[in-house]
Amino acid sequence: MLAPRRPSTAIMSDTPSASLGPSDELPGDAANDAAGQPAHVILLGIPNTGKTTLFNRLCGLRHKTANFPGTTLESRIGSVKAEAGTLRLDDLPGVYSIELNQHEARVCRETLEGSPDAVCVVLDATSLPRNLQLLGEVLRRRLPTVVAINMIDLARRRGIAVNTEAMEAELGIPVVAISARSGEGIDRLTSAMTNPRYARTTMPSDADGERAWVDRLAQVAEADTATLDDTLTDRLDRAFTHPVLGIAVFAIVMTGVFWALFRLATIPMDFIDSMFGQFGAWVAGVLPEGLITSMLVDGVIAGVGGAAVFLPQICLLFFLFSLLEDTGYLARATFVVDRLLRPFGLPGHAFIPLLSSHACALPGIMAARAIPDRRERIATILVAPFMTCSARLPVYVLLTTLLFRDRPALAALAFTGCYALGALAGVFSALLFRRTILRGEGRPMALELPSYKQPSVRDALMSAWDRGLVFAKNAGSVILAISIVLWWLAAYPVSQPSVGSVVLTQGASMVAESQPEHAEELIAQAKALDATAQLEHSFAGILGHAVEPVMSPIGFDWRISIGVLSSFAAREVFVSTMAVVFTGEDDIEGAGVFERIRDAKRDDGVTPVITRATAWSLLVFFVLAMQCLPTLVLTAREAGGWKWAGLQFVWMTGVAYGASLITITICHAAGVT
Amino acid sequence: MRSIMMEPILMEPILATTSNPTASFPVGDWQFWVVTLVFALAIAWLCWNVLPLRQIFRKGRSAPKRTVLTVEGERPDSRAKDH
Amino acid sequence: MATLPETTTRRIVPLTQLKRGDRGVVSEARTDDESKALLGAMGLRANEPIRLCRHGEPCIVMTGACESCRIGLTRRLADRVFVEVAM
Repeated sequence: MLAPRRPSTAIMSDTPSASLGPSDELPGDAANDAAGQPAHVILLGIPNTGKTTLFNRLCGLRHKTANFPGTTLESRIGSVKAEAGTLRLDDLPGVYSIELNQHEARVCRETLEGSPDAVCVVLDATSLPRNLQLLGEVLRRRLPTVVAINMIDLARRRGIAVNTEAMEAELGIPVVAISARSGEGIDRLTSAMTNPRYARTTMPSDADGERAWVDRLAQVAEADTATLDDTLTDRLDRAFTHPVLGIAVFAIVMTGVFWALFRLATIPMDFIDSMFGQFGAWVAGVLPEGLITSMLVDGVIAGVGGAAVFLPQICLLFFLFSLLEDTGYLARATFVVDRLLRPFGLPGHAFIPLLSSHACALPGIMAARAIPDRRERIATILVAPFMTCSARLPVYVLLTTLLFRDRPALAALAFTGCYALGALAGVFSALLFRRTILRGEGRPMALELPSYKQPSVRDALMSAWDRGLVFAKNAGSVILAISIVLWWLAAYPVSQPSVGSVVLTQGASMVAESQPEHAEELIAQAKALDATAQLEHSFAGILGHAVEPVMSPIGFDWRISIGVLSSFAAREVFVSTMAVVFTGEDDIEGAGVFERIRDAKRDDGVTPVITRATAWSLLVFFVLAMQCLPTLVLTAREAGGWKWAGLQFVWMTGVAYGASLITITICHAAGVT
Repeated sequence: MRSIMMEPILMEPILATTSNPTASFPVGDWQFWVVTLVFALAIAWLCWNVLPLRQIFRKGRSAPKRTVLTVEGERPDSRAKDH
Repeated sequence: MATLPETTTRRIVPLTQLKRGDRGVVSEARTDDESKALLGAMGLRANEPIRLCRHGEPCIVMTGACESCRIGLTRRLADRVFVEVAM
């Protein structure tokens, strides 16, 4: 039975077990028989007690990411298989105290007031005394409780003993020593969770009483005499936070992360890209020709593929972050970065969001939740998209190749310059915001420095999985919808074959037998003409023409404008749109496509569409412009209002336009054509 | 000379004449209506989820007093029938 | 509760005036209420013994009688945390 046993002196309260409905509510949930009613357990603990590892071990993949309504605070709900049945486990955010005025603490309080069936408080065996305050606060709530003393293996290695039996006798609730990492004690914990009890002692509410209670409990647990030998930790801390050495170590670590992102991740990225391409071709071959097939292949599959291609980078990034955090290094690095970012009004915590944004701003902005100060958090969210994300890379490649055809060294330099431009624009924009609309002294940083330990690959994999799933859901749906919209706008209204293409087609049919290769060439040219004409007369083309007056000062004609407009939905679409606009084919790597883009002429037939000056202007524009609808949506959600998303869009696009204008003016003045 | 129409590149165009501008939409093709419906749904979904219409229409709903974790907007046990 | 021997002279100084290895007892954190509550919950509460591990930016202290927690603070914050030390 899962009903908690209560001491006779306690007030009988009605806490009905929360039962789940149909057994397919939680992932992996087996059918429950009538005897075992699933119960609702809350997992609570201070940060760095291995709560995440414990949750992963108890639930594995059987969990979902959940949200506290009305907040951006995320949490996980999982299901635990116990002997008596299945438990629902809610993982609450780690807090040092539930009585704080913090958002996370408030949410924990409210969840506890929702009368869960049981609470499992996770404590750190290697530093028990500081955990006991939270335990006392939880016990004050008079809920059935279980205590899990985690990292018992680590404690043993350090010669720290914890007397769990004495604690259990003192408190009257189950106290189980476990190691979430190795699995020790987990079975005893799950069965204890099905038999939680009300504590027989509660912590007094005055400060002195609290101290006395905590001290007594520490004494009982015999955890008040252990000391850590931490000379190695001290030395490492000093090295990692050293003004010079610390930055050097940080630079090395970051180089490693970037290398992994842009070398290692390209392997699965290319695979996904080709897989979707082949899938699209297969579907086109299998299904009958028609509009629906066309929408499926060119709209849906291309769109979903375009989003899916970023998954490897995001998963790899969060895999590495989890490993780094687990080792304990990340907390020290936060102080190093804090010194670098403080002059710009950003805290050390901003480094993960800003770094993640180099892969994709979406996980970066979500990571900004870790920033405690509201103004600093909003500033980080606003400028995160300035960091060059992977979607911009195909555009950079196209333009730098156009500019530096045979000089790869210069192209690489320009590439790096783009990254630098984005980052600088970001931090200086942050500085501006923090001096104007987000003015205020930042919160001084106090961070717990966990002990150094071996990272858990399993936790890192779980983190990568979770983040990837969130990205796929958030971004994927928006990008899919946008792809469909773009497809339709480019397809309608339908234009009839132009005179030129009809002539070419007729010519092809005339030489079809005598010169079959020439005939094929003519047909290809006819198709190209038709495709470009189609794009020009479609709604997308009409829009392109409409914005041309605004775009021409920075060197964009209507063709480029179509590309820029459509890339507001997804940046990488620019390259394939340019290919279609100029050549009728959407594969930039097709034979001659790149050359045709380079040689394409404007409406006067003489000036090239993409002059060198235009290419520079385009490059600068793409570095700085806000061209990502999913990011805008997320900004609105995370910063708490559409005014922030609006500001982000206007500011970034304004900066981009201004910078492009300056670029093209300089180019013309310097005689660059 | 017969003009040979090669197979359609994107879709079957219907010849448009100046007196019949709507002929540039293949209204006779049932598939056109399907894709246009999907297009309309996509726009509607974007507007509802992306633009702040939802916030405007939802004004007046009071916040829940107790905090309960939700998955995709629903309580995981919301479908349980109370006994 | 740790206290220093009654016979030694005590003075109250901010953390930034301690050197590596110095021990003391937290007196108070002169910051806003929210930060004070958070620091207290992390382990920097009144009468809590501390040992300084690193001076400067960041300032690293070990808290607790059994030195169970290591906390890093920016210098600005360390300036506002006052501890009682023996002369």
